[in-house]
Amino acid sequence: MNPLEKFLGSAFGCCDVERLLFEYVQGTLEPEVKHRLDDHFRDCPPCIEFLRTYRQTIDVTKQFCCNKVEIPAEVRAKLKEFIHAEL
Amino acid sequence: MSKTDAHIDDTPLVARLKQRDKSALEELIHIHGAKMYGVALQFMRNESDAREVMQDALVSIWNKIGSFEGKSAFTSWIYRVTANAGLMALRKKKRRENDISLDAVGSDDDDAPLPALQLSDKRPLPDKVAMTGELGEQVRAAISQLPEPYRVAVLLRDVEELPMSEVMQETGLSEAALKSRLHRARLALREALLPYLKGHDIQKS
Repeated sequence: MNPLEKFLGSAFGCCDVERLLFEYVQGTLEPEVKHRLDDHFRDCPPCIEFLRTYRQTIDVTKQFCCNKVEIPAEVRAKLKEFIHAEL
Repeated sequence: MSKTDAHIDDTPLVARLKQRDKSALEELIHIHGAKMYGVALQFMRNESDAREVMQDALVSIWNKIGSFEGKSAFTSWIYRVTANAGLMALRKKKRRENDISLDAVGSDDDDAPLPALQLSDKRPLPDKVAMTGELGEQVRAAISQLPEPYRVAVLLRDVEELPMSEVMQETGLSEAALKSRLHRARLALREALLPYLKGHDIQKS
């Protein structure tokens, strides 16, 4: 790729990051597109941070979403009744 | 002494369920019910509907235990059954209320961000505080505030980790629509949780 081609916009900008982020994190971008996005990330700390917090969001969603919730006594009693009456 | 899910051997429990021992269902609730209930509450957001989801999940487990072959962990299987029961309950509820379809929520083609989620406390955590229950509370609060179709997509894909093809099947969405919905939901969650994420390394459990 010659310098003029690069200058004319074959490189990705910040506006491309959000558009491609889902596929990038999923690992389904075309290799050439991923490579160009990686080039952008190398030179753009705000976008690196955006990527980091996007990934963290997915991680904490998985980690903390559905914690154990003690079944209230009344609900537990109704479930027991249900098991013996309906099943 | 309580055990974490990782240390529980469910083989005897599965065997008893396959032998149609109803007391095994009670033991299932005793051992795994708290997590199942947490899943049900995240879908339905109220106790009464969550109880019905638990009942539906128990029916599914009872009817389908014969086909459980142990290829996946028993806990993964029962939590997935519970999530499916939650999804079905939401659909039934929408049909009863004659509301908009669970799957048709405006356009998934436009890129407009979701309205900001309102969490009660956005103070950033002190630098060296390990992730505690506070982050967990904020995550759960943020997820529960997502509009229902977005919450369902996040629960099925990011929490239950169903393959995209399965989530598409469950929600009736095209791949492009599902990706758009998930992406917008994640951006809304990220925005709400940013004070807790910026500059902090989450210690994974």
